[in-house]
Amino acid sequence: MATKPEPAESIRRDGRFSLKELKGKAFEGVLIAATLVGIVALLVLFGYMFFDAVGPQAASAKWYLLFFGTLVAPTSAFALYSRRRPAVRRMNAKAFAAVFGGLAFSLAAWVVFDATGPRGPLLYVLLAGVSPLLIAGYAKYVERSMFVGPAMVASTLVALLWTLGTEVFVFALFDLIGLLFGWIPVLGSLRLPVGLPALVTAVSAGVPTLAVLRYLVRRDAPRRAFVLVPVVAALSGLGTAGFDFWLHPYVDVLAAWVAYVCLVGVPVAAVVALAVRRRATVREGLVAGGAVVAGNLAVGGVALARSLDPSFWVVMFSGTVVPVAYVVGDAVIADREGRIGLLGPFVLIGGVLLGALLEDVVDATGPDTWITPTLLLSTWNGLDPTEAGAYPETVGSIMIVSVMALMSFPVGVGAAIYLEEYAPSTGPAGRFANFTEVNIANLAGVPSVVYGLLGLALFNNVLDFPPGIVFTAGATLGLLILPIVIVSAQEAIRAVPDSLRRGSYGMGASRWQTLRNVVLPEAVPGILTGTILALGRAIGETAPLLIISLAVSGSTPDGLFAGGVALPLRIYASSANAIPAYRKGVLAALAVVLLALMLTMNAVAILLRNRYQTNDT
Amino acid sequence: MADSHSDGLSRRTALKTLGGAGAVAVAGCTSEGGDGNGGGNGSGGNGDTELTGSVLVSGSSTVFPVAQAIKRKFANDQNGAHPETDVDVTKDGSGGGFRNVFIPGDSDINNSSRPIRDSERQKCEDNGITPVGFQIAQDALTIVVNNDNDWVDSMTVETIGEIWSPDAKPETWADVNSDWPDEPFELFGAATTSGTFDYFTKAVVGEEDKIREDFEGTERDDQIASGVSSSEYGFGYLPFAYYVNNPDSVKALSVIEGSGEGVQPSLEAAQSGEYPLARPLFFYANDNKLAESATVQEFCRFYIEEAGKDYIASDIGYVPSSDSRVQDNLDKLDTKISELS
Repeated sequence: MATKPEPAESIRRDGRFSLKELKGKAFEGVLIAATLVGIVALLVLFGYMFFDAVGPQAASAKWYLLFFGTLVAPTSAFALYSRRRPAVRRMNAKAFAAVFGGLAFSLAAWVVFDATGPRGPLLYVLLAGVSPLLIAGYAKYVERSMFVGPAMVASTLVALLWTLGTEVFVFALFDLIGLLFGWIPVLGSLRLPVGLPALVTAVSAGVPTLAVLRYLVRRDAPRRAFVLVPVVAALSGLGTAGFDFWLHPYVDVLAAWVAYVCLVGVPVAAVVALAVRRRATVREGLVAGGAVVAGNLAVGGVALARSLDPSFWVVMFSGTVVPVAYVVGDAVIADREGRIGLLGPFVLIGGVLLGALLEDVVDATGPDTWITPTLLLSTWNGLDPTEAGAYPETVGSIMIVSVMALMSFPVGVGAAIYLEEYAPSTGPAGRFANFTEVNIANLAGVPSVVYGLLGLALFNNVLDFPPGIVFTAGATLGLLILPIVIVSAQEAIRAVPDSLRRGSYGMGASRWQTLRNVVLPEAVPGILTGTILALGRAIGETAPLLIISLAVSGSTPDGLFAGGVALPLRIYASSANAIPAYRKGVLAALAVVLLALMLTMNAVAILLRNRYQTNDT
Repeated sequence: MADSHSDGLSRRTALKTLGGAGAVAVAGCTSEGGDGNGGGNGSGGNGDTELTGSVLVSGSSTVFPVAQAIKRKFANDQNGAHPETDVDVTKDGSGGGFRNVFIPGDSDINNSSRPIRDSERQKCEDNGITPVGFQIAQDALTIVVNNDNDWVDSMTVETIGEIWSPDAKPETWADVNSDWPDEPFELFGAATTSGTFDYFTKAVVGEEDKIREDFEGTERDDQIASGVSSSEYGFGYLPFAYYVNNPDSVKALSVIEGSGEGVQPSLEAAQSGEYPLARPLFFYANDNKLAESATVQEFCRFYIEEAGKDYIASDIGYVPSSDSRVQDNLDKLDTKISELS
């Protein structure tokens, strides 16, 4: 008469159970091993690269001690202090974002505009930016807001197309006509009659003239009103042809640094003014904006007085000092509890500077690094590795990424919004939308080499652009990441809960209003993060650049249609260099620079995401 | 199609000369940059005025280090500074550069580690281009084996040819010479787009492009070196510049021509003609670009002059042009330019 064992015990004794448990444990072990293999392999690789680039083994113990004292100890003490105080931590994060985000922004703006010269971009910004501002002002004046949004977008596009169109699209159009209809005798033999400027002028004069003519005919206008037609034709023709003559001189008389103020300082001032207005009054907003502009001019004046070139300092002031001052001022006034957190970035930077300063005083041997000012600021020297610099390549990469972003972001996000929010899901149209979606997912996996060929065929052969220009590189890589941008933006839009949409519809909002006020604000962080990560992915692409024959060795590109250079190509070339120092130290240092660029972009993605998320809650 | 291509050039020139209006705004050039600096169309004068515009140099990765160093000097040199010019150098391989960039008329100059082929010259002429060639330096093509290879120190050109020939196609070292180990060859050489490949097949195997297929072909010299240095039975060939900068990674063989003595690769031996595998390096200029751009003319002149400087030997590892060759090249250039204008 045995007692029945407890159920749990009986299960435990059951051999099958312990075997099952073992199986589970073994599976877990395999998973851990898989994780470790990946991570350890990457760590070892990066460790190697880091060693080659920085040479930490050369530094003396004294050096490490010094930097421990000035940098590691204070920052960790600060981190420990702020860890338990949420307000401080939040402010610390904000200060870091302002300081390093500002630095990244102003340095990027500076290197790009320094390469292209500030006046050209300013001209462009004026053309594209002034008309929407005028429209917004007019709308305010007549107190009608219905047309503002579309009109602003349209006017910007028209202005951009007006300049860009005369340049690129007309050529493209003619090439496409030649390509598509070249076999038709008449069209095939189309030639630009008197040369291109004439054609451009004819087109740009023709369109408004036709529009006026049509309007007059429709309205049954009196005969003498038709005098307008030749007047409009002449004016718009002259306007386009003479665009250079009537706008350029005004821009050109500006000193370079004033152009920088207009290009960087004024937009920053506008942003500050808007930010202040949102929290205080219009008047205070205007004062703040005016203060930023005045600060710019003051910096310029001081620099001039000390006979320095003010351009760099103006950009740094607007891009770094202003946002930092804004955050600091804001914290000091509004956030008593957290304002100590402002010190975070300054403890870090101060530690580095102090360490660097004391390094010579106490005679400590630093690491034998290849990441030197020479590498970052000078041009390539193929004969002496210690003199090799990659400034043009870095700037080239930044410019290519900017083109990439400009090309892929609007198109990609637009496509994603359509596919998620507007595309029908049933019927033939729905099937077509489905088919498109599947193909976009496939395109995201097409190898980059193939996109290189696409870029070569499209830009170099069909559109007949010169080989290896920045625009081609950026546009090719833009095409490459386009499917990724679409897919990630779709994910972000899809992640917005349907209940929000239904709530909005329930309150009587239209599809556009729902999209504008509910869906997009929710989805923006995801969209931005996805896009920037895709950009970071593409910044290191090498194969497409090789195929469109981007120069390995060139100078800083001075415009989008100038011959480009890029960091990955330089890395690829130096890995085959005959002199060993290029293949070890310089190569690793270049890779670190490229990684730093990519990490900066990822950090910007994270910053933007955090910012939008805190704003929404 | 044909039509859209035939006027492509003029349209591109138009695109560039339009410069002023859109290009400046789009490209964000400064106005100074925009006025008539349409890539390659420099100022009309002959060196007296400040040169502007760009030069695109394509082609051989063997000649690349030379072009890169000269490009830098062209922009930075104290006595010959041309800060407003822009020289871009791509790395396509001699044949790749001719085929993809030079023959279509995109690049101004193509570097080549072999003379231009008749077929390439013909294609150039079909496109209305006459390539103007200059020999600028010499390389001693270096035959390399693994450092642990103790059974061979020198080899005749014929033996090297036999190893690489698709007809004999020896599997093992012993197939070539019974004193050598009975181990399979591991062959490393230049990729087929490379002028080094073309030279090697012609000079060693005997016929251009004729070679066995089972070798590792790459445009990258470091891969050849590391391939040979990591396999004991490896065998390959390299530009001397690579070998001289990495002498410890592989062992260079002396090369015997006919019944003569074995000659170690060196710049002196290449210059004197003693070394059998010394090969000339060239650049070819597009005559249309020469005619229309003072910048291209000036860069060619600078290229020719610099190719005679010592650093070509000491820092890069090629035999520089002799003084008389520099003079001959300059004469050739001047004659050509005066013919064109």
